[in-house]
Amino acid sequence: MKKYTNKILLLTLLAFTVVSGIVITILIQHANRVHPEFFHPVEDKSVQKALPVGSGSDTVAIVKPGQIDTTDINNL
Amino acid sequence: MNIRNIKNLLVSYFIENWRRDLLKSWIVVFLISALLSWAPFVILAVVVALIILWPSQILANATNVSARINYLMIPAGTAEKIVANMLIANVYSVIAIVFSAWAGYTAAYLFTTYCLHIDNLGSYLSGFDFQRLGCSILTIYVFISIFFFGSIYFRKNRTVTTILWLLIVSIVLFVIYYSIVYLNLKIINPADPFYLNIQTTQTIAHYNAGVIANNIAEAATIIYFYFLSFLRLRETEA
Repeated sequence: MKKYTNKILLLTLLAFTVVSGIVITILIQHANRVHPEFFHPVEDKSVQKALPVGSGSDTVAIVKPGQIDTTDINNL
Repeated sequence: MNIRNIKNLLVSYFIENWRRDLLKSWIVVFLISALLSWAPFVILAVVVALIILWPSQILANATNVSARINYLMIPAGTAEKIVANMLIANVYSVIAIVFSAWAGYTAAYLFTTYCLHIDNLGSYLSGFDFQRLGCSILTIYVFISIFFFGSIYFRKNRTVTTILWLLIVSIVLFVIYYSIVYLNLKIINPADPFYLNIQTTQTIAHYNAGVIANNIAEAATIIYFYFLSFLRLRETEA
């Protein structure tokens, strides 16, 4: 009778390692697609959308003395 | 496969080994009674280790020439020998060790409570929980099947060799899986591969394969190792 046990053991271990390695890779990549915030910091775009256009630091308000409306917090 | 042959094999096992098994049971009784003041976790770990290691010496078919001749002279097929020894490893030895451990624990508890009047040992049988060991009962049977296979596969120092091979395979697999996970994380986030947002990791629970899949995998492992044991026995017989 031919000796199969060693071959079966080795092949099973190899197949198990390769298949589980592929499964782990697929799971991590899938997790990265669905929840990228797990793996790297993601910019929170929801806050930027909430602000009105032109309210950032790139706009400069040109006002004359005495014309500043202190009730508008964006002009301060 | 003849059931009468399996019964005869079991009877012959009990006739040949009852003294040795009784001695082993008494050792378990005294060991567990000596461990009474230890944490339940330690006692449970010792019982599980005994259950796993008991079948590692069960099939002495290839240890020496007389054992080989003795094994071949038994008038039964390979499958019958495997099934009979499976019953001994999975049912008889588990019951024997659990009963011996329970008897030792109870005897020591009653002795310390009523004879030595020590009442600071905690409530009886409290704290025994398989979940704290991080394994299920099926996991124990997986290890029984691995050590059963080891008892057939290796010729000398079978228990130690099986433990060593288990350690080597575990370390190799750990290194391979660690490399795979590290490479994946390196591709996703080259600047900081070890970055993991702890606040959101609770939702990773979605990626658990689940208890059912785990149990199916463990059952498949058990069947695989008993099949491999059968194959190895056929090879050694030839």
